[in-house]
Amino acid sequence: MLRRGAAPAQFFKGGEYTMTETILQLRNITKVFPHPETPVRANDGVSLELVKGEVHAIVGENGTGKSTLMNILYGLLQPDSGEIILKGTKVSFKNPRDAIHNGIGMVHQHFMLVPSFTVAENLVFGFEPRKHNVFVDKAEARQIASDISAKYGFKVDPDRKIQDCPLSMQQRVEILKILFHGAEILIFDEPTAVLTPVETDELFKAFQALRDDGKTILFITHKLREVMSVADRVTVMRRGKVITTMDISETSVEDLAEKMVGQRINIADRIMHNTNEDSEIILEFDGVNTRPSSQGKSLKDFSFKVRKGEIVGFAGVGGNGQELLVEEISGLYKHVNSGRILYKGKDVTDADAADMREVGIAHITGERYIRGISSDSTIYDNLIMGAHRRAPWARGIFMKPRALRKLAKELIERFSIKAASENVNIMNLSGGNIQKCILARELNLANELIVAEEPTRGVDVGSQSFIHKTIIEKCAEGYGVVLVSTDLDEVLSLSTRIYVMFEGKIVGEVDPESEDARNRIGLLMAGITDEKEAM
Amino acid sequence: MNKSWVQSLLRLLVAFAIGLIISSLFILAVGENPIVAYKALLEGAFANKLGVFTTLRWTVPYIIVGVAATVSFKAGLFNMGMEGCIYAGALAAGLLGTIPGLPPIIHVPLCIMGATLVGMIWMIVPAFLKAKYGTNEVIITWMQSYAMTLLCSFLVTEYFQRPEDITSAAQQVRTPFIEPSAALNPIIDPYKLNTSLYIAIALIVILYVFSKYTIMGYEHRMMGTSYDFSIYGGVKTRKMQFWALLISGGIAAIAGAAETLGVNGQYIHGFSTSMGPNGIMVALMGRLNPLGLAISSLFMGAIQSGARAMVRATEVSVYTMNIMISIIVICITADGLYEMLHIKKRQREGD
Repeated sequence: MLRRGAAPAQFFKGGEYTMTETILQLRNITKVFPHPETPVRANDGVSLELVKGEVHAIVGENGTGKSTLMNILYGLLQPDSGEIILKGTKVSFKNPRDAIHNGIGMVHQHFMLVPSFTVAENLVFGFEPRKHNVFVDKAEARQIASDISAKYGFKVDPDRKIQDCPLSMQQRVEILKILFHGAEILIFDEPTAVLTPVETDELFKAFQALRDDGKTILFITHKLREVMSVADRVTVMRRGKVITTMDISETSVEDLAEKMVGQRINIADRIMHNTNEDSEIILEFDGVNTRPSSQGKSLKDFSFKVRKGEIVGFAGVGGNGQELLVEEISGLYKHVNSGRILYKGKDVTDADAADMREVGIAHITGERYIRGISSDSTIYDNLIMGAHRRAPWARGIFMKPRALRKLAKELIERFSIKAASENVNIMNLSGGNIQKCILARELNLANELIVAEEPTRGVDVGSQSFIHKTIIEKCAEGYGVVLVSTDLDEVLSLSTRIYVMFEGKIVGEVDPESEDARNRIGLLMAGITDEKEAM
Repeated sequence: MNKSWVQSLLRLLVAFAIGLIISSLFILAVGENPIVAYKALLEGAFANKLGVFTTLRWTVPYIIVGVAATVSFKAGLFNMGMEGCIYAGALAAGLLGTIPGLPPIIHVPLCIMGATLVGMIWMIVPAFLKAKYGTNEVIITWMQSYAMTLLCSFLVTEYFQRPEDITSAAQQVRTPFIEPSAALNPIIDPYKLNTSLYIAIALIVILYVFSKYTIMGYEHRMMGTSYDFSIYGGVKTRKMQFWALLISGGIAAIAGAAETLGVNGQYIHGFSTSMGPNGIMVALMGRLNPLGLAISSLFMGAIQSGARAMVRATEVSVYTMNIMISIIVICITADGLYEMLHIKKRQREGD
């Protein structure tokens, strides 16, 4: 089928040697983003080899050039030097259309679909079958859609509008779309970020089906467990360079994590918490129902307690009311219809954000760039918010600038924020360091309660373990922590108790220590509460 | 001097240079030599005692209105209604100033406080609507400004017209003269520069201390930079918005009062030659910084006083100077332009 086979590569898979063909080679790709002072070498002599019919994962911290490499491969960016060899022929893609013509397709993290079009219309978008050369042949489009979905065993409804489809189906449409374009190499950018564990399993089954069909899959991720379960080979990138490419059988999660950050970190940073029923209750939700938000979401009959020294995790697929829960606690959105919210026995049902700040909560927000920081301000201005009106740093109507400056410097040092000085604009920092700034500020403000919303989303592994360690320390010091996260590994490894949220409700409580915790959470996340139903 | 200061200064100089070059083109277009024109302007503003005092006399109201504008801008609000507040304050001071038999130590503060109060009251409606319902304050303050200007004219013509003027031929809309006890006296006779200069300096100092050292000042600034961040950080933003607009109006009214008590000795309708809009220009030119504000006010004052000399010496119109100021403001506020010139250096930390 291939025109001219490149040098065959051998690789070890499942205990037997297989002769395979290299379908794609990247040789010494270098891409430098110009910058007046410190040009960023996003890709520094990257070489990569894809074998036909493999699932190849690329892992690395944020900002290591994974996406840049994929964008080069997909024709969105041009490399400064280096070459792409496709099936033995040197190619260069001026734009994605070139790449598509050469059989390379990409499923982006954010789907590129038209919400008001049907599945079938989206599938053929750009390559529509014509009727009388002018009109889109809708019947033909529907036929194409059902043919192609049947071929790969993907369940989609051709007549449904994209806006009515769940995210997992939208993703399937994306995959089918690039298959319809004739892709042989499929690139996925963080494909499981939006999926439940059940949907993730389905996607991985689809990966296998595609591989069996002779397609080659290249996917970017930072979830190492997924790499272990689905990939054949894995390439680790660090700081724009390829560290290594390995067979999956030669490596482990811990090994990959170590190679990613360049030092050994303990991923299962579990500690034994010693809380008991007598510990003081810090936060209590008592049958809280809220009015629907502008997106039509609400909390329904929400009850839970957070005691001193425990981390209560809230798991769930994003968009099941987590933001509402956090906003109810922090006072940012107060639309309680019935029920009560108590902070140490005090009714704070109607308290607004300013009141809750006075009470002394720390709120590590998930809306990092919208409200977590003031992006036009210095690190100093971002670090002193909240502290600026508190006792040791302020007196009467005045702030104490010297004390505040000292505080800012201390926080930068204690949280090892990599900054030249506290006077530079906060946007000069990397994502992980910005998150550390938020963490530093908020933990400094906490009296008893810490609300952490997606504390490590989009943060590099180094900062991630630092943030986890800090939260666990605070918990051990006796703070109550509400952890809301869509990262199941995070919730599982940090929480003392886990609630699973689905459509604004708590659908179940899971003990993270129990054997089948992961599976049970997975089912609950999909809204399956009846164990038998799942069997 | 630290780096940000050098950068601010550079930015100012670049903007000034561009403004100068472009207005030179307009001067050339009317067949005059720009250098001659600028020289006349500078001489008019600074060459003799009269020029210097006139420059300073105009600097004072610009500083006061500039502070008023800064208070609203820093909070992320646009008070476009300062002109109305200036008139309201001038009239209030003019009327209170006619009360006989008060010692100056009581009379002057009474007039100024009365003016401030009127200016603040005038801002209650837009401030309340903004804080409560998030209504756009620009339109309301702007429209209210016209309403107040006309209201002042109506009130004076109808009720407070100076008795001598009703019979005389010079039908100017003005109130009777204030009592000497209410006057802000000239610092050096016979020049018009008066003790309101101290009010202006005091306001600058208060603004500096407020934004640098007070809790409210920090919150006020952060609200203007990032509204969502402030709410999340526990700032009572609604209250803050309400008071920022009120105080902005109150301070603008002081500028009007100073004109009445210090310069004119009575309320004369039409005394303010676009002081409100010019105050916005001053605040923007000074980049909402107290010291920058003082410098830009001095600049505006110099143009106000020197432009007359320039008009006398050449054929150049006074409006050429408006062009120059507008271009300077555009250049100063256009961050993109500034970055394009690579003056601002950004350092990326990490990767």
